[in-house]
Amino acid sequence: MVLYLTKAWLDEYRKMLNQSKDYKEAGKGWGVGWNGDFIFQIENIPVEKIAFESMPPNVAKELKGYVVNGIVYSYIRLKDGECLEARPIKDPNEVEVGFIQKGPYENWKKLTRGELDPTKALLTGKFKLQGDMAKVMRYSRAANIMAKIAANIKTEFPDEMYPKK
Amino acid sequence: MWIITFPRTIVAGEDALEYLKEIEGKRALIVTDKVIRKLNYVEKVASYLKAVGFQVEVFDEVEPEPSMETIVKGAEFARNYNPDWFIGLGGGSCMDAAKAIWVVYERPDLAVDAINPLEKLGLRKKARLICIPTTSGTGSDATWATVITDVKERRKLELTCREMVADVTILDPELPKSMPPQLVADTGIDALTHAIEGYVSQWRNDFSDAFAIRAIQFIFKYLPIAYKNPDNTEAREKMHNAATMAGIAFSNSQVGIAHAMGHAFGAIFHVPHGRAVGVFLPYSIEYSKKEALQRYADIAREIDIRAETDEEAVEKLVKAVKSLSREVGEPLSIKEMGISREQIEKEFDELVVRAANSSCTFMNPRVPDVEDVKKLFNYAYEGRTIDF
Repeated sequence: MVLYLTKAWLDEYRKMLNQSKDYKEAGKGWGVGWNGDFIFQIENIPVEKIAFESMPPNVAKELKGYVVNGIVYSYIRLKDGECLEARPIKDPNEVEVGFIQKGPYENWKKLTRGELDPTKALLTGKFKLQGDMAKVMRYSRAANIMAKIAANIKTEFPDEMYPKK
Repeated sequence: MWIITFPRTIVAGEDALEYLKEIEGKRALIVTDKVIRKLNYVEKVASYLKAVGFQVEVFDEVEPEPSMETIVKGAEFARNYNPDWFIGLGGGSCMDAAKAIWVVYERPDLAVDAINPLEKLGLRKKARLICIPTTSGTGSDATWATVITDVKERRKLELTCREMVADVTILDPELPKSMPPQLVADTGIDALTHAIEGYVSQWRNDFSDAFAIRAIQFIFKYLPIAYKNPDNTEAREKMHNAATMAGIAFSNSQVGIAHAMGHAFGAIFHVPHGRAVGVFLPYSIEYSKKEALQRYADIAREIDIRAETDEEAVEKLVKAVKSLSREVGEPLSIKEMGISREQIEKEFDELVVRAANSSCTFMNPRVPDVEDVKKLFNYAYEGRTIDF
């Protein structure tokens, strides 16, 4: 099990994306000649409900370092069916990306559990997307595979694993 | 949460075209093709509009499977004329072209292939849209989608945007009267594919279900009659309505792998849309039943198929679809279309990649991976029953 929002979770995600033959096929051409990198902006994280003191100290330190005003920014570099890099960043301005996908923590949780269809979630405003929308729609199969892969990660969520009593 | 979208006004039945006299505006642009123009439908539509003071212009350069170049040309034509109403008159190609031309007319900053459902386009600042289908199958008059061909890449772009749905749809049963039997069959099977795929799609909902089921019932009952007897007014009217109901159904739930495969296949081999998607329908049911047995069994029972089990009902549904296709002269395999194994082999990788990456594929109740898509094409080529 890996803890959501951490570097370890993103490492696992990157590993699984790069192991997926389906993703390699569906993401072919993505980001070639243009910036296909993403920031996943996870908002409204219920920090008041998370018992950081119950976490292993290094994990608590890591999370506290990345959760800024209830937001975590995950930087995902994607090119030609491959995930080149995935890591949390403190400031979204420290990288240049082609796309930013924003949404509340609860919706990201549902997406990560496979309870939300990623395209439907965008169409109904559960997530907001900045960037070239037409490109995203053309690669909607890749987006769906990315969501499925996230749902296959054995994930623990900080507010559930370490709830404040 | 889901958003149900369909035309604000649907006018159906005898003399429905007369509703045009209710439209308020100054300049109408009829988007159509040369065949429709020869049938004098343009004059008929224009006469109603002129009767209430409209100026009318015609852009009749829409080709089957309209290209991005035609859309750009149409939008340029529109900019010079400055219409406040667009009238898409004809089959799916004309209505799809009208939608896309309207979007580019309103948003000249937008490339045709940039039409997408994720951003507000802000349409209806300059003009609105009326769709008048002359065939009974496409459903384009009721959907928020347009299919435009990228000729250079031999690729069909499935472009969607909720704002693109028509303000008014006019279903006059007089218009499809001139359809030759082959077109009745192609478009009717297209409507059936919309309705069945819309009923089992992953995005199905109570509203799409209602429209899909009624459309399926009508098509099984009336398509053979409309095919054999074009003068049967009831069959023609019910098929015309069924096509729009199927359009509402799939537009609000999406279609599946028969469309994904049909779009890829049609763009490469230039097979008419309805025939291209229809040939894959039985295979898509056989393949998808593992994940949607109950849904297909529901359809079977709604068309009075009697069966002891869901499995038996779905088997009989596949037979009923094949039998209907056969009755209206539609092919049941790629081979039957006269396409050789060599032709398929030459384009096979391209076909598979396009179908696998189509947005329709992952709306299917069972989402195939690339290997399964390959098998589906091979089985559909030979006409073999799906066993995987």
